[in-house]
Amino acid sequence: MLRRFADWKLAVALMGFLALAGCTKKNTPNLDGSAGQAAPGSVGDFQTNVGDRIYFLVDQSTLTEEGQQTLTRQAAWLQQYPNVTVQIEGHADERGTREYNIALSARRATVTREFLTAQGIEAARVTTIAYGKERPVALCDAESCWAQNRRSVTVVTGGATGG
Amino acid sequence: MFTKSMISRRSLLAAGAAALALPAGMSSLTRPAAAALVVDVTKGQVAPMPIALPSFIGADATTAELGANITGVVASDLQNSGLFAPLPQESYIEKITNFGQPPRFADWRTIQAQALVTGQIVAQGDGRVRAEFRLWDIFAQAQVIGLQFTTTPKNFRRMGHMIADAIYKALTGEDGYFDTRVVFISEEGPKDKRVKKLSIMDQDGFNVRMLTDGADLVLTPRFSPTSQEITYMSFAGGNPRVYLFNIETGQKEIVGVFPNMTFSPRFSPDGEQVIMSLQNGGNANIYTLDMRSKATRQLTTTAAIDTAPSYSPDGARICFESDRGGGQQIYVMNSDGSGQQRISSGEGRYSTPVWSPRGDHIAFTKFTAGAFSIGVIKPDGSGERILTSGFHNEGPTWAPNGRVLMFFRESPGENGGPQLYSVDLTGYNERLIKTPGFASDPAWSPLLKQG
Amino acid sequence: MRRPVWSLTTSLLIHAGLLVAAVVVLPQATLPPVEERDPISVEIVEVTDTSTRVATKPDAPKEPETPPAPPKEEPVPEKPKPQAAVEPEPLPEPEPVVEPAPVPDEPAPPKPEVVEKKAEETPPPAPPPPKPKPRPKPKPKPEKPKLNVDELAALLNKIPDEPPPVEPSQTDGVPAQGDIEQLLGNDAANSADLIDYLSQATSKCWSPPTGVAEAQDLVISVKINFAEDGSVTGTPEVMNNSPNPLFGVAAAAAVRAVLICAPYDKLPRDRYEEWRETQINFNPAKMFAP
Repeated sequence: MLRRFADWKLAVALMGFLALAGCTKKNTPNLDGSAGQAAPGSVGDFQTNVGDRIYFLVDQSTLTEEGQQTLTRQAAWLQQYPNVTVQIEGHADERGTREYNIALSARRATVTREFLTAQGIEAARVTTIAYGKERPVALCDAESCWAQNRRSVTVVTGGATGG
Repeated sequence: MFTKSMISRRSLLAAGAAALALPAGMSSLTRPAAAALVVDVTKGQVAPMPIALPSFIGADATTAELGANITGVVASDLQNSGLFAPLPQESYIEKITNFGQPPRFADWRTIQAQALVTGQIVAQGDGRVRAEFRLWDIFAQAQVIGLQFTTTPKNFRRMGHMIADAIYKALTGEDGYFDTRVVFISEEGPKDKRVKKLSIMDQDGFNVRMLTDGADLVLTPRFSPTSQEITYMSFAGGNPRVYLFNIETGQKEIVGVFPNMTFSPRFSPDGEQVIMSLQNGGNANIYTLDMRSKATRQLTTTAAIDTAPSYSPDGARICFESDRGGGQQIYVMNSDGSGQQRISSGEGRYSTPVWSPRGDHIAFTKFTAGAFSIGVIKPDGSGERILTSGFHNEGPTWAPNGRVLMFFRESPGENGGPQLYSVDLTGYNERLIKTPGFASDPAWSPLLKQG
Repeated sequence: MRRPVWSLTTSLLIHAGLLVAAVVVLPQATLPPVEERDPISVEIVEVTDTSTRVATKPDAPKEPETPPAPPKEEPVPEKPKPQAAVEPEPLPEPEPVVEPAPVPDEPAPPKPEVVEKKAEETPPPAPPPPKPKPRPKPKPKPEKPKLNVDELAALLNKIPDEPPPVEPSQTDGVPAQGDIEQLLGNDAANSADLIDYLSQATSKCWSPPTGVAEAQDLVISVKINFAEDGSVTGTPEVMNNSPNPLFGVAAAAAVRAVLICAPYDKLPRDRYEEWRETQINFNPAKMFAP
């Protein structure tokens, strides 16, 4: 619905005030059928039951409340499966310039990693990489898509069960 | 090839012509002062100069065809510059048959030509050919320049570019930019799985070659001052770093040994430094690496994103973008990092500053009110001008004469993608540079070295 | 004002002599050879080269896969060729320039006939530019505007601050021919009408190169001798000079403007003495004024 607003800045402001209603709801774990069926400790388990990604406001790298909840679950899961290692991918939407977005996405990945380590996850288990705007997941030219691309994704790189 | 009709005259300015009767009595007039009429003309036309380019002649079919091809390159370059209007060959009255004879000026005046280029191709017998040409001022009835170039026939496009550069310089007084190349990123595949390849082409979009195979994500290539090396960012091995690519050998190497991601590289004007951003946690700061000693130097130390550094042509100063004040703005500092000072002041986010090879302007990308624009600003922060604006324009690069900019423009939509455009410093003459596929992150080379 | 007759005669004789000499020495060409530039070599590496020559630096992250084969759809099918293949053996040193061609110094430059009504009249075959049909005062000025532009523009910080004017319409502000003619006759007392006419007519013929148009202090003063029919006698003479590297092209553009505009056939004959000798100052100061 936000995409209706022609004025970008207004949309951005509203995004803030609405505290991530709407689009960012996609943040919650995917419950479409496969939920709960993934083997505990597997990548699928992490993605569907824990939630592998969090979203950011425009040009921001501060964690939203919802993002913190997701990361808290991630931290708990990582505590539960201590052999798992992860890489945090930082991403930015397409509405920025290439170089800045690389740094912005690095900042997002860093914030994400710092939250996890603050929850007691060993720093050595968490690496980061910054993709800037190079790997969007949603392709429309509207805030509804851009909001999904401003994200950090925790990717399991090793130690998970069941592949 | 260049049968396009002459560009219509753009009477940019009106001939409002403040005509002032100055007090007569200019000492340089030999007549009694009172008799001389003094007229001031203060406005003129901004119109491309009509120029005639009959195909260079050749003694046989092979050289004649080569001559026609070279002439086509010259005509296309001049036309694309927006400063010349090549006249259609069908309109020519005189047929050039002897390079050694002056043209019949009246014939060329009749078709409104102001300049004429005559030329011939001579096979040298060693496999190479010689292109000789003369540029004529039709109204002054004088040869302006006459030059000859020697090369192999397969090099005919370069020969054409060099001839076009010589003509451009002779008629505008400024260096040309046709004998140049552009490095850029070729893009293939869907938006969420783009394959990006380091690529190079001639300034006019011909001779595209891929320099990498697309296995690694590559971004922001920039030429060295010799045009022999390219510095760029590669995600090879999952370690995003600044690399160096040698065009002659095809060798790649990482630039420097840094603990974290490096990006946004660019050469210093003398080629001895690569300047870039180093990511450290949530911050990016600007560093230089000396290519010989490998010594690094940190120039900025803010808890912010400092990136997109670019040297002034004399190497004394650096412009860059920083969000240290809250949003992206353009800053200028001395090359040792001292004297950091914000120069942009308008609304919106300013990024990707690039210093003009002339030193007089800094080009940038600006994001405001949902639109991305390409603009220029003077190094002291005055004189901001927007040259083009739209859904998404980004990443300007300067032609070596500082008169033309190239940038990329994203088209919207799931199937949209970036293409390269050029635009004059005046904001006029915007042109699409045709590439085989999507293309982004252009960087213009200096004028290529002859020989 | 008029040059002594002997001077013209001498000039004609000298030039004729030169011409004869040229014909004798250069039986084939009447023009001297053009300046030679270094041979052009090339080339950059082909992609097929690069993918097989990937460096494996100690500190470089290894390439993800084995050296990838050249991508299929690469538009660079050419075989890699040795660098030096095109390297030219040393050529004769660039010959000293013998330009410009003798043409410009030809005696009696033709009276510039701009609005040519004689398009059909086939001009005589070239070498020496055809002597135009005699004019009342065919006094050539030997001081040709030389296109002297071998240096680079130093004056390039002259770009006006204002944004470029919006694309104007064809006739924006330029008085149509009829309007210009109407200027004549108004305010005839002090020649102001002539000045207006000459200024506005000439501004339609003046297209200074970009750099010149931006150079707000690069004024070119041109002296013109008019014949009674409004045609230009001889070549307009550039009266000033400047170290500005763009001066040469600026001067050439100014002279060209006058020659393109000529004949100024609306100039009233009965007031010939008023405009017979005219100085036009080309000043780009207001080129980009709104």
